[in-house]
Amino acid sequence: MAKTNNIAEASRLLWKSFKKGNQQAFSQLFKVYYNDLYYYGIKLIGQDEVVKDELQEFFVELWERRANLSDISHVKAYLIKSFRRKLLKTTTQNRKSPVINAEFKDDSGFELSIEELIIQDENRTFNSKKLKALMFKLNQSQKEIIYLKFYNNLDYKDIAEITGLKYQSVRNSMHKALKLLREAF
Amino acid sequence: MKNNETITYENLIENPSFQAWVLSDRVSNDENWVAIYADNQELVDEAALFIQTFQFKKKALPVQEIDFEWSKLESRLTLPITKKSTPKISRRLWIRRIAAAVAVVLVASSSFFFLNKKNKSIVQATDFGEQMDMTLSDASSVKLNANSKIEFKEKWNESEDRTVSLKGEAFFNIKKSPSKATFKVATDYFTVEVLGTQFDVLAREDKASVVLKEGKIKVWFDKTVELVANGTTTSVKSVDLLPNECLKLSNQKYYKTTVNTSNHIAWLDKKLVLNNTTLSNLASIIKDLYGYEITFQTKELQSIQINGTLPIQNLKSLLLSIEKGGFGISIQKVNEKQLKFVKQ
Repeated sequence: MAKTNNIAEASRLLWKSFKKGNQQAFSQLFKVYYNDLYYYGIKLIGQDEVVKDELQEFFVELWERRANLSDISHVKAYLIKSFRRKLLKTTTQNRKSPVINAEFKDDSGFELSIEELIIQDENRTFNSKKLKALMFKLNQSQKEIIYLKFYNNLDYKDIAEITGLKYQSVRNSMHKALKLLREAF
Repeated sequence: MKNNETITYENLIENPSFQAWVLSDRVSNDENWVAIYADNQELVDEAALFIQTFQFKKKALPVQEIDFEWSKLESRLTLPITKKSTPKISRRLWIRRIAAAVAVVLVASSSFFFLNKKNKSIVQATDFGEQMDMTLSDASSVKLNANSKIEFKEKWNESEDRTVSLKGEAFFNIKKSPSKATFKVATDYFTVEVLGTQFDVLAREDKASVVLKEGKIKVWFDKTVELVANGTTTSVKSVDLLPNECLKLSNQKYYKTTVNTSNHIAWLDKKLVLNNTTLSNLASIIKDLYGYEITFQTKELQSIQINGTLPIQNLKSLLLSIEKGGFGISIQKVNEKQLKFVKQ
């Protein structure tokens, strides 16, 4: 946890420096957050190439807007939120593209599979088939919330900001998801 | 945990301090979890099991790839920003060209190697279980599948054909060049010729195929081949493909069929889609991608057909999902180079 705070703190400093036009700081931010943004983008729209193109555009726009940006307390949450908005915008604009689930309501969209989990084979005290089936029952927004919380270690406040949902509905949604998944353990 | 929060399964799992405590093997103790545990053993154990199990594998792109993306971005920060233009797919009729030109271009590129740096040819190769993305000098992009090799020139002249040679499998997203220069993929089997389109080429020791996602392509052969399309066989020197058409080599003949392109290029998303695929074909794919020879407990096993989508991001998850896939197959590791499929 301490490590996370250090990164968050360092990012705040980098952000300030980047706003003043320091390209070195911008490069640091890019390299620290590219991975998480990339894999989140893959989750949302699936295509490697499109995500990379969008990330390029996203960072160029960020650089161009740097003077108008305000200080932010949580850089990662801000980046994820803005990148998500950008992806949504492009996917709805560009109907021709094979991109799915503009609102992440579609069944074919945000996927979580148990293959993505670290599972130690030896102490398999839960039922993996059941977990698989239960994962399937989660709706898009539950999957996205789980991903943001457990993969990206974001808190409910950030997740509410990112998804545009109310704090309480994020919590409720997560509660329901956990209740459902509990059957597998 | 705050006083007003009751200790429930869900509350525990969502609590960052509890997560940290569980993941530290219950050593760290910034809140008094030990005391809470004493009163709620069953619940705490249950929640802890969830946290221990429900951990995502952290994925990371290769550092070089991120560096590469940064260098692409960096060049745009200093230059005046150009807006992204969507590639247009040419519907123009094809001008016939002689495939022999390919050979000339290749010879030229290697012999000018020492004379002219601009004509330097680049070789990129992937190891077993590895994939690689690259961008060519004409802004076209290529994704190389595992155990594959591609060779191309560092830079092409505006008017010359853009030729690459491939062994293995790659997915191409070719941008139309301003001078309408043809793009060619040369393999041991055939040469694929395009203006601007997206397609997959596979050319390995024992298999060859081309699948078109978008646009139009022409496949040239060095000599006449037998082509089977719509049930009739003809002798041809070239074949045109339209989107979702596949040209595949099988028993010395080429078959043109309509396919589900996304299944063929599922490897781009690190997946393998099986559609009545025999275990012996699957074994051959595993050999191509990971370099393992596969033997079978019995001959009958080889012809079992299976369906489904398997992850191929690494060998372990692929094998695990075959075992768990309900096909009745177990996999034994014979040695560092060999696996054995046995009945469960």
